[in-house]
Amino acid sequence: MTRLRLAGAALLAAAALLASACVSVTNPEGWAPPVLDGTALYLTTDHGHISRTALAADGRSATAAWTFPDKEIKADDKLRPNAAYGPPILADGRVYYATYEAGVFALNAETGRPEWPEEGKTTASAIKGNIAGGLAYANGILFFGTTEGRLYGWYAANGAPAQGWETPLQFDSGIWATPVAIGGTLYVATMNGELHAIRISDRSPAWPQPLKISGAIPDLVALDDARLFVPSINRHVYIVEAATGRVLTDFRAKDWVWTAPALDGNRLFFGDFGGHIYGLDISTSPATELWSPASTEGHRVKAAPVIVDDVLVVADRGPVVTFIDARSGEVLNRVPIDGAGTVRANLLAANGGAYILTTKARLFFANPANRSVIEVPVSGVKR
Amino acid sequence: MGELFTIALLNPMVNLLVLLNNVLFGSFGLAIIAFTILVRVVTFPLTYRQLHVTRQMQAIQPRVQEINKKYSDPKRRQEEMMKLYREAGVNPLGCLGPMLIQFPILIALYSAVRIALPNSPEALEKLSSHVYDWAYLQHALPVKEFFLGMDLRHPNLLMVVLVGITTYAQSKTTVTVSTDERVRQQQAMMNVMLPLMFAFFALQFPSGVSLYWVVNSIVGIGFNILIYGFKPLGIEPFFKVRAPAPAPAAAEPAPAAAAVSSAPELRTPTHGPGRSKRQNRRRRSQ
Repeated sequence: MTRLRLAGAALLAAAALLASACVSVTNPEGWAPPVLDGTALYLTTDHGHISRTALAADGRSATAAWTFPDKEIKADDKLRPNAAYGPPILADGRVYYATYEAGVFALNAETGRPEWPEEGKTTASAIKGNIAGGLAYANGILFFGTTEGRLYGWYAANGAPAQGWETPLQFDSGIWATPVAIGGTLYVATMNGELHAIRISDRSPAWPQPLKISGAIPDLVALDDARLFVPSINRHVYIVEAATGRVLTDFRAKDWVWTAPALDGNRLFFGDFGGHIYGLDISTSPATELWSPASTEGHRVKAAPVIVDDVLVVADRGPVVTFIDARSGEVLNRVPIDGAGTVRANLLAANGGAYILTTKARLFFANPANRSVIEVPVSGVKR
Repeated sequence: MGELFTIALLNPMVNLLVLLNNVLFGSFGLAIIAFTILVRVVTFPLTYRQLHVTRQMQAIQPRVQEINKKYSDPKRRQEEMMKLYREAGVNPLGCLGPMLIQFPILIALYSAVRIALPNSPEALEKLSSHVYDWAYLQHALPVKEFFLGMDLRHPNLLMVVLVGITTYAQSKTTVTVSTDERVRQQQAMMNVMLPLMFAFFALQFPSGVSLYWVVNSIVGIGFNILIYGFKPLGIEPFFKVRAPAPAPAAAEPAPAAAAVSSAPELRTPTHGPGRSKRQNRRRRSQ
């Protein structure tokens, strides 16, 4: 009997393991950051839904004006964006936003209803692959890449392919990073470690050859008109001259870097997946470290930090909000956010602090003045 | 326990998969195939032990039936049964140990395939905690998701059909221990239901996982044929099972039961492995 009980217990343990294996599947959730336009705060909540909220004058509460797709509108019933990874673009009185599975939408900023595609329709069938990044906007054209290595250029006015972009530009590997437009050049990073510079006018290469690095490039950010921040999962961060593709800095981090940085003059701050926070002086080439890496005590850092009044605010996957003295790298305070999911979306600097959006669509405000974190109640979001 | 499972089993498997992906021309489909075969070959001693005990159990089935018929008192029946197991040198729980060891390995194998093939940006982010700090591995990520024109991240109808067929074939090559007609009928029903059930699961699974399952079943079929043989095709078992020692005659053997309790019959399972040539010669001479 003892043997049978042992066998039963072992079977139960094995079943528990099986269950844990089953729940470890990771579905797309998205990490589009909040975007502020005056008092209009755009939040991408769960399953790729987007809401326009009105932020109160003190910035400590918000009320939703609309949500898209809207569960109360029949035409939206079948829309399944699933996730959104890039920030919405606010232009022309519209909100342009790219979703993982339902393509791109142009919404009327006031009403939240689609200007294109038609009500109840998506642009997914016109796209090969999923959109794991966001949109770049230049010359009235929206550019976005897909996980199957296609780069599309659509007129923002009507969603039709732009002249010269009737067919997507094809790359050898997926495009996960949001493309970057500087002047007339579009910069596109691929998951096989290539960075391309393409002239928007005729799609010709702006560099003699693409920059090739040894790891996937999941993110791409313009530091200014002359330099690009190129993080890679090969644990390196590159600062690249936009005009020539020359690597100005090749910085070796301690873990994967998949985030945007915070920039303050010539000081650059970012975290890695090992929970290290780096401060670099990029006035020199190569860049030099400002201080020994600070720590989030091992919590992965996916969200871009922000810097306010020489205090660096970092929200990690814990999620814990860490306040760091940007001059010395000293950790000033750590505030856990319990029961709010996790933080992957880049932080938003506004109202003298940082807004933090969690995967459970809860909004927090980190105040560097007193190193505290409070929840910002958001009412009226239809989920 | 979860952490031990991850560190000791899951992470090595994920890294082995990525390594194989690099070695096999960046094809994750080939990596899954090679990986499944490799793990099944490495765990073959466990599989062999499990199947071996099953064959032993099968060999003593006629005598189990005999005891069941003869003794109506459950306690006495149990005693006789234990005596039989002891005399025949068979441990009825003997196949449980290897199975329990294999179970976490199979779960890890399945999880490793799912983890190494990220189906979302979040999944790739999560993969970072499983991959070792070795540039050769990290440069390969994310792995290419296409194999023979199919996206390994999504379900594929061809793979669904193959899962059903190979699961059915595997159950057909597996020996049924019991000689009880009712149990056999249940087994026959399971042989049909199980493939249908797995095919249904495959409709929801990424085809990378289905590919693993198909290869796993094909290897399982190979092992079954090696150990049991395959009667319909006249294939004899490659590995011979030492027959359990014949038990002394029961107190009052029934005439019909006496025939099945004879030593040659004990060595000759009624289904599956087939008889050896020597056994056939002996039967003819009798």
